[in-house]
Amino acid sequence: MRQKTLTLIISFPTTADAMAMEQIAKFHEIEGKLIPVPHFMSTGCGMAWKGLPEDEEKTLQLLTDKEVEWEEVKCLEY
Amino acid sequence: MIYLDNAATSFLKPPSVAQAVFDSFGQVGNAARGINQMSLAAERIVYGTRQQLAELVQAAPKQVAFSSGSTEALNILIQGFVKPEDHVITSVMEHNSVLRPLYRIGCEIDFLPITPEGRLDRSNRDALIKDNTSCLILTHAANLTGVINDLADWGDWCDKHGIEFFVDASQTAGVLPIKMKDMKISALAFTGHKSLFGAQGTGGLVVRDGLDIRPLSVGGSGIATFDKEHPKQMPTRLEAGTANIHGLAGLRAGLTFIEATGIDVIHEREQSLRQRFLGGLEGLPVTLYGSEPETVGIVALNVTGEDSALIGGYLSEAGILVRTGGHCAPLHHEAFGTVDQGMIRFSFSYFNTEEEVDTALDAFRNILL
Repeated sequence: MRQKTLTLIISFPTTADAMAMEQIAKFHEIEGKLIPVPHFMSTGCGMAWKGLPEDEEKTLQLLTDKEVEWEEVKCLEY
Repeated sequence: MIYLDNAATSFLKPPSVAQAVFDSFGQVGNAARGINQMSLAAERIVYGTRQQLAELVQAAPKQVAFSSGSTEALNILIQGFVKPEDHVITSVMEHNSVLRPLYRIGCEIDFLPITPEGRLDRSNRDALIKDNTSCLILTHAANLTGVINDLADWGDWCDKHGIEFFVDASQTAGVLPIKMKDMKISALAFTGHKSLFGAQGTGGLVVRDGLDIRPLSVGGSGIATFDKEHPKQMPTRLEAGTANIHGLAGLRAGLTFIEATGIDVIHEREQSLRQRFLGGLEGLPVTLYGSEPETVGIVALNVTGEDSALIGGYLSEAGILVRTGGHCAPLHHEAFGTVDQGMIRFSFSYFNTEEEVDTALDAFRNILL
């Protein structure tokens, strides 16, 4: 089994929001990727962003600036 | 063969459009159906197209919902917003894709008339407003004559009277500037296969933030699987089922071409061809309709005393392809008195050439003289 690490996970209400997240991350060189939304988060669009915990503030600020909606934010071993 | 029916569908398109459609068949799965690589590839095409379309009309990507074309978009909009007890203002220029949804609802309708020159008559418009007036539905440019309506002026007028402003941009998206915020447009219907150079079966509705339209179709959305109701968030709110990803790949290529070329350049090119054609009509026994100095690339006319279909048939035999007959705009024909005769519509594209215009004129003259 792969070892779990402390991870930032953000879920989104629509796939359009998730795709916007992916674009923002690419443009601002934020490490991470889209993953299936984990069972313990609201199902939302079925996609979640898996990133680094230290990028949480920067990521959420960029999402706010770009008017991208998110549903839940968690930092946990995943 | 010379194709001059671009107001019906743009036959001549950038080669990148067909290539993008072709390439997409080897690249994508279903969009919004999970995060496997093929699904993400599809979703990137969909989202990228939303972004480019949104940028074209001064909106946010999430406010762009895709449909099979402007007819479906107008049905979503009209049937999802207008109630039977509403009063709606529209114009005699409108296409059946506006008129028939309104007739089906059975709401009260007032029609803005046109002047003898074919422009929209604004002189008595304030008198049309009633307590239950909910919206104005207006084409940006008439599909029959190409006459352009001043969206900024109508947007201000709707704002002043507190009614929504819905625009049919079937003939103008990609060829005239559209600024939804500046023009105070509440919702805009567009089609992909005309001046956006995309594939048939693409189009959509752009809705201002905060305006709720009841969806026409509900069902698979890829999200919120266990909810009994279709998701409320745009754009999913107005989209159900598998998107036309391959078509959207082509539409995106069309949008990219327009961005690179420039709307002004495209419009000027169409105007140049149109003016060349108009100049060549001098001395011929024709009646022009709505021949303002500037329209979208359309010339609508009739040969005095002749059925438009007869002349269209002669043109077709000569290899000149145009549209004749009713053009799905019944009230516009009534206003011009051409219900029986129909009209001959020549519509030019950025990709037509001066030589094609001259050849079409020669063929037309040979028929008439």
